[in-house]
Amino acid sequence: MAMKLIRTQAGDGIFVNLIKDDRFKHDRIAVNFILPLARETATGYALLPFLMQRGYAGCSDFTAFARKLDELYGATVAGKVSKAGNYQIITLTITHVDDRYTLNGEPLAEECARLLAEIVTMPAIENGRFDPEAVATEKNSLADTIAAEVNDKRSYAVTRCTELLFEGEPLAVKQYGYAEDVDAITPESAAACYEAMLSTAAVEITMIGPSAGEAVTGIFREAFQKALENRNRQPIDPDFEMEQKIPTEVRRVTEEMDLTQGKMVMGFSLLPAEDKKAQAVSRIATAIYGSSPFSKLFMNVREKLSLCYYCASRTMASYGYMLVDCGIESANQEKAEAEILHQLDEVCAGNFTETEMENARLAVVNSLRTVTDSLSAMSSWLLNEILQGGDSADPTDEIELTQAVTAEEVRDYMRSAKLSVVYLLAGPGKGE
Amino acid sequence: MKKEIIRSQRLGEEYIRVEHPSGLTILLYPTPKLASTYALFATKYGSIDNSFRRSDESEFVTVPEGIAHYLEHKMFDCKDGDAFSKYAKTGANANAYTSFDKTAYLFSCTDHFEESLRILLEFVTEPYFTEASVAKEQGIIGQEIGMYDDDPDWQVYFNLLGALYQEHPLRIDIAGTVETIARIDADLLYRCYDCFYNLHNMVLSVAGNFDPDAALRLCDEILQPAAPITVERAHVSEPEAVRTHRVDVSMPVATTMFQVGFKGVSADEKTNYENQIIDEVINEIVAGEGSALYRELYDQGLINNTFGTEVMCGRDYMALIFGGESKDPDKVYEAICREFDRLKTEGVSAADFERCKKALYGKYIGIFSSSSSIATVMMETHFFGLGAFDVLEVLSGLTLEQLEARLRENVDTARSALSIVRPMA
Repeated sequence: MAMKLIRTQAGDGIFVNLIKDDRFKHDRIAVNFILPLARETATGYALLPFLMQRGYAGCSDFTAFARKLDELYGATVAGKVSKAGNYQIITLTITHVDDRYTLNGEPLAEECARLLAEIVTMPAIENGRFDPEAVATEKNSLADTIAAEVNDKRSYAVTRCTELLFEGEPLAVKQYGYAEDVDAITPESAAACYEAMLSTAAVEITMIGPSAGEAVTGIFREAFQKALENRNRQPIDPDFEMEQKIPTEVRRVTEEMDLTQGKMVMGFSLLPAEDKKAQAVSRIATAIYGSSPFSKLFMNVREKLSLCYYCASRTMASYGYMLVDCGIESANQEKAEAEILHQLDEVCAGNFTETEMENARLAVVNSLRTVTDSLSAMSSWLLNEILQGGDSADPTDEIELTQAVTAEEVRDYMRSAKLSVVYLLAGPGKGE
Repeated sequence: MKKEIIRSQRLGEEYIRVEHPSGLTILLYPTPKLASTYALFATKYGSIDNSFRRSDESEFVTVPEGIAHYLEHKMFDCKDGDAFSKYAKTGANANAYTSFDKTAYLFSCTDHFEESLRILLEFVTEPYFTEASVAKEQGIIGQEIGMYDDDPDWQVYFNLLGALYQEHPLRIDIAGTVETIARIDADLLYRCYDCFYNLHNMVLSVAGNFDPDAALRLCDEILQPAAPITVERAHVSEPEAVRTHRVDVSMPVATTMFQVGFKGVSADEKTNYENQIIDEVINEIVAGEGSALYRELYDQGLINNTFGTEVMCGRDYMALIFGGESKDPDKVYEAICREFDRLKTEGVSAADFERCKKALYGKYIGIFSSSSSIATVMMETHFFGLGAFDVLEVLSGLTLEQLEARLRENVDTARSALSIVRPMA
């Protein structure tokens, strides 16, 4: 692990972050637009990646665009919406095979970079609007995506619990927005949304792979310069600091659906981890409590009591909350909840062994080291690193800090956990 | 011990194939530049192998549905604790899965490879079940089955297989049902183990940052020569025709989901795997994002960006699957059938063929980037009688004539079905 992160400015609030890495057979470039997460704007922004991934000014025909990508050895352009704390992130990515591996030695890297640069700076907007047919189709797709949230019961229950935890705050806003807001989007308003995004978003471009370098960086620098020539750009300066939201009481919500298995999610507020050191403590604490197959939750709720197939905790350390979720017979809810809380008390009381600490260190270090082996994992890690103000090219610091976490730190950290919401998605007649 | 180096000129990479005296085939693909190592210890035994005869026995035995998966769960129990707590001491990330035709035990690690490989080789070759430990698993697997019962993607898929196949055990859920797993006991598990976890029926596939000699030394130390037995699987006489053309159920979903399947023509294992690659190009030509059909359906709002295709392939089954969300799945089904018929009569354009072949080639190259996908493709191709690099060779050598012949031979819209999961009224 001796890679270097090179971060250069490509415009006002626009940065290119590149890691040249010859180990991969593909290259990946991602353009991330970071925007404040708000109920009023979330849906409009969420439509943009759907529209932008199907073509751009230079090739607005969807089929011609798809064929162009096929000719580039199946290069994939993907639009994505995600959430990071109080921010909504619109990402457009291109992943393509590296020049060394084409059948006849065709070079692809610069062409693919140019393609993505044009997709993000020259979308298919004509006369102040996107193509009305494309907007209508993609509005349906977005509405379907929003509606389909309910299809995966486990993630639906997790989303519901998060909404309840942060009711009325940006963190509760859904990343894809709201069905009732999709209708109001017009070809003009979608173009206005794009304008707002280009003018106000903080932009972080990440490029990783054998071809990442100055040539590719230059393509993005020029594309953004050109696009911003006649625009008044005033980018936001994202601030990811959070405060712990201490609950005054435990909120219990049960919702019914025609299901075989109940899904319970318990939401806890936690002290937000402000730096890498605190995040390392959080990782170890989470591995001991509920994210590993040797964790207290797995060993007790699943293995000892046979109450479920999965029972796991996940911690959003920077944003100060933890979710524990399990799939159970709804009749077993009380039993499972009691055991989940009991195991938390055990961690808070320091009732875990040095072996458990060592196992957690090994597992966390293993997963951190694995990050550098995949383009997608590297991409997500790098974006997070940049958002947290870091400048490393790999998780070496995290690994060192993880090795140094003590049992007392784990105990003290978990003591900040306050149960805030108990959400149950249950079969009919199984709720209250 | 027979040792062979398998090379790819295209990638400039190679791996080692060893026929170990124990009977096990060992595939080792060192990639020193990666941080991680991924190891798979797999047996050619899955949910469809529920009726079989050992070469040293006279009678066929039929076992309860879901037993291969149940056995996978119980293999983690050891005399001295369970395998997960052993892996906890090495930091490896361990797991296992059971599919229609194989069961694989795996770990991924960045350190302590030899300790983890030792754990893997030992626990998979030393079964240890008691009546109590087998009974304990009923609750956990029961909840796993419940989870899949509520999963609309799973339901739409198995309803499709139930429509396409009349007799083939593909129709049956991999985990079985709460009723069938209730009949599983320690004796039955040992019986299945003794048949299918014979090293001649298994493969060890390792890729990543590891020392191949160290891996071989551990195999020499731990693996005992396997008894020279073979297993005969009961022949399934699956009629050509499908059971039904349409299954339509309601579940608590927000959008209507569907899968269209075409029951294909199965040949021998090796040919099936090669055909799978050709079929993937066919799917791309018919319904990839660059196809006229995709455009037509998308513009009419009949499909959305969840639409996708896949090829299902096994030792005695082949199927093409198209699925996603739609407000009118019957129309999508009709359109796909129409497009297949058109292509079979009019032929495929050379431009479409070259374009889709290129697109797929770029994706296949990606397989050789990560330790997990390398180990997986070595294991899969081995079970089908091929080498890992053959995937690239079959694809790059594919001609339009071959593809058209395959299309005409394999796809018959009379052997197709539609499975729908729609929202509850």
